Amino acid sequence: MLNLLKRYRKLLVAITRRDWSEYRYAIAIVTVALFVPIATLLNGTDRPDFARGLAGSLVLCAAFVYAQSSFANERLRGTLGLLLSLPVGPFELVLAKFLSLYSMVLVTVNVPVILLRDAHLLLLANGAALLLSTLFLASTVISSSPVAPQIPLLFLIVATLPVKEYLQPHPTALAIFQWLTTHPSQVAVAAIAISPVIAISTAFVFKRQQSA
Amino acid sequence: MEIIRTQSLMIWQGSFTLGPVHLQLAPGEILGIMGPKGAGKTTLLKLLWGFARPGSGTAAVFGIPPHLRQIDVRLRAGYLSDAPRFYRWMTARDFLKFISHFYPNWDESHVDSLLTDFDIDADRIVDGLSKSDKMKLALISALGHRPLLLLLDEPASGQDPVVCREILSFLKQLSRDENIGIVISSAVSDDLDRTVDTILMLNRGRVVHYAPSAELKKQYGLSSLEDIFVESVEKVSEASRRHNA
Repeated sequence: MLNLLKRYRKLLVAITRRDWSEYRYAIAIVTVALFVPIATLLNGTDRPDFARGLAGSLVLCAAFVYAQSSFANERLRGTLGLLLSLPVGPFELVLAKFLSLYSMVLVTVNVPVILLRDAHLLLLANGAALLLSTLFLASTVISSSPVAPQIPLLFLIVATLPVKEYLQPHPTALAIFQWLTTHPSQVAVAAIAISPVIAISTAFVFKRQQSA
Repeated sequence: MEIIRTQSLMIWQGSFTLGPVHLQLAPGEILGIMGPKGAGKTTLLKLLWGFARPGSGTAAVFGIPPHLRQIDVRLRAGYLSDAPRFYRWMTARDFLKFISHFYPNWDESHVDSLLTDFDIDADRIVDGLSKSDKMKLALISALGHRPLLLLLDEPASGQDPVVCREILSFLKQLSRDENIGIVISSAVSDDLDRTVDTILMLNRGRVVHYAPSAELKKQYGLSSLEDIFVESVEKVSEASRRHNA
């Protein structure tokens, strides 16, 4: 058991180090970009909503870019075959990829956002970053379709729709929606809690696909 | 005890059927799998590596069914695919270091000596290496953990004749010195003539011959395995034409 954990730690370090080494410039660019709206908010601005929106978009961008690069690129250039021919199970490989992705996303989000010293915002940013990156990576792991990484983006379109109006005839759904929009902290905690569950389920699905 | 044993091994992939294949590989033995494109060479190697599940029959590598216990097999064996993939932006040394993390018994000094033997500049970016150096690098990555078995899918394919001979004579030496069992596949050519102890000839998924190569050469009175293959396939087609007529 100890040997197994030791081996898994080595695998995790190898995958994370490799991903960081390949995407270090992307990580640096997005992190620095995120400092811009944060600095604007710190200095005081008459358009705080714009700065917050920009910061949110950059979090979305980080989650999307890292998740897509992390797995879809391995598939496209054939290095997924190399990884799968090594003594590592598909389940462990996908989990390592998720953990590596989390390390990249969380550093990108937390380094600039922590400067605002706003625990509530930090919670929201982490919840959003974790859930979004999990969904993006899960879609690229499960499907080899080139449009797979974009599928979770479609769900975000829902946020731009007048959902309240659509839900008027369904009082229970409307009540749930209103609760979700008025309790962002609880939603963020739920997002943080559900992300590892999605990651583990995705790893199981990938393992089943490989053994089929 | 043999390293590989298959009994009535068969697999169906769409309209293609491979087998039945019965074969054995002892330590220090080199088995050549020979046949044209689509003969089933890669499929057989994938079965032995645990990438594919047998349709019927059994395959055992170190006494283990490879598709059920892939990791146990891979820790003791090395595999080289027909189109090795790399992280092209890494240096050769970084690439080998990355691979080393997956093997608890990785031998750094062995890898260094192989890099020297093959004359590969380990500090060069993989993308800048020549095709033959890339193949040698892939071979080193498959040998770094001192495997007892090597499965090589067309390692000499597309290489210039000098490099091809260098790789094959290195493999022969390796099997003799370190008692490693080696399976090499090759398209119909004389790549295997000087290297293999035993030959498995495949054509459209069927076994044409499985015998010690010296015995086969003696039986046919021919010195080239390629000639034996062509003659055997022609005989089979002739017989089937007569049967249909």
